[in-house]
Amino acid sequence: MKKNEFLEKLLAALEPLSEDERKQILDYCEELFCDGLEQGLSEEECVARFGSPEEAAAQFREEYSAQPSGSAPQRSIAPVNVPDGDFHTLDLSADCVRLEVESRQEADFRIVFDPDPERDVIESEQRGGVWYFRHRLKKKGMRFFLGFGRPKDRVMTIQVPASFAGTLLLQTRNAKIRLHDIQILPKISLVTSNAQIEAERCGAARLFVKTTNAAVRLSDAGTQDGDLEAVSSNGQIQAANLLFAVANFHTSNSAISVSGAQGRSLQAESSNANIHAAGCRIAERISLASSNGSVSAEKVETANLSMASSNGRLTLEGICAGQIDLSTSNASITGTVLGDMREYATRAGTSNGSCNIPNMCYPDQTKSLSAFTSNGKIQIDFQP
Amino acid sequence: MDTQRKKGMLDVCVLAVLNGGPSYGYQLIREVGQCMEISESTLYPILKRLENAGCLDTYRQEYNGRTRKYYRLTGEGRARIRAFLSEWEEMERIYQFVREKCEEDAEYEEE
Repeated sequence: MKKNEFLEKLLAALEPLSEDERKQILDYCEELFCDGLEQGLSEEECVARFGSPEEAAAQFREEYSAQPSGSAPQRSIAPVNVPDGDFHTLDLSADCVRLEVESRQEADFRIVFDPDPERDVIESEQRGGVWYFRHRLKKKGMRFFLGFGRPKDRVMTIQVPASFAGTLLLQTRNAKIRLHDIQILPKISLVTSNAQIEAERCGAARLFVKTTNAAVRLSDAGTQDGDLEAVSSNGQIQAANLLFAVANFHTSNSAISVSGAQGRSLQAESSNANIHAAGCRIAERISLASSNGSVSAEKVETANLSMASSNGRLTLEGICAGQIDLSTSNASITGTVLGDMREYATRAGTSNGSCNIPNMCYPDQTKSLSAFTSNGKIQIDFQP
Repeated sequence: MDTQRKKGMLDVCVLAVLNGGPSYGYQLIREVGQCMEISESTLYPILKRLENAGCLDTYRQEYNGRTRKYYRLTGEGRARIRAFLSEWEEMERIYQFVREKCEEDAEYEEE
């Protein structure tokens, strides 16, 4: 049998496998044919060494019938070179490839990715304690797009050893980053564009996530004395159950929602969108600022609460704070504060609307409340 | 030999060959073939399995104007070899035990 006939029949018998997997098998066979021919075997002899196409296909597929229970079959994966020696930082950048970051028990890092020699260039080197891992796509001009059409969602899995105690700097483009269940590290930075970042059950002394035009979702993240920063543009920031010393959230044109946060200082800033904070206990200061978006705080406890907007209403519910600063325009300020108004030095004013807060200030008052708006009512009730 | 056991043996033979340095498909078949029967098609799932388990990693290198896929042993691969070797010390003991117990009995030997 000639090589082409063998390969045709083989590929037909490999029908159930993915395109990627069939390509890998094809590459494998081609390589062995070339080596065999070089060694002086005839084409027929090379083919015969594989057995019949049906037998060979059965062998090739055998790997997929014996999957370990409980794990999804992982097609087309290959662990990629980990440098020898110790390094304290992984500085990884990828191009249009989704990053999945998870933990592993074994002592070494493992990056799982199936590079296509036609498309991918990978460089990996260790310098000065930093492992630089660079993935980029070859530029093939028009042929790239004609040949591949809409790029499939390709994944690079980064498995971080549980014993690692260094820095992760991970970056990709136009693709999602998901990180979960990683031990507390000195620094984690996740950067992408036009795609979501999800980080759950992780923490770092410094945790930084940034994307554009897409959402950031953080849950069960952070560490008690840590710094947390999430930046997006045109993408929501959703944060739940966070722990930090200082947290900063910035976005524009999209909402920020923080719930169940605990820390020393929390700042959330957006424009043209709502900010909502609920169930947060922040020792020193909460600052929520939007423009053209409403700002609401529900059951938050802090020393200093500042809520600011323009053209967006401010709502408070069950707030527990010593110093409260509320400022907006063309909108109402309403809600409830836990405590006794007599303990607060109060200042309030609106240009057009009712206001139930008097301007009263006594020297022995340690708390303060100020509420200013225009063209909107101010109605804040104190509850014991 | 039992097929499952054979699979495990082939795996560790491939790793042992790689212990001598990175190698490629055709060469692996020749070398492992010196010890155990292995064909082009049986090698493929072995390499996949070992790669998935992290016992080896791969890279490509240019050769004669084409690229060849090379396989290289990892730390985990070395650990797997060590585990195999220490397992067999115990197997050896058990083998000797069985052998000794049965040498007395001529009937067993004939069977």
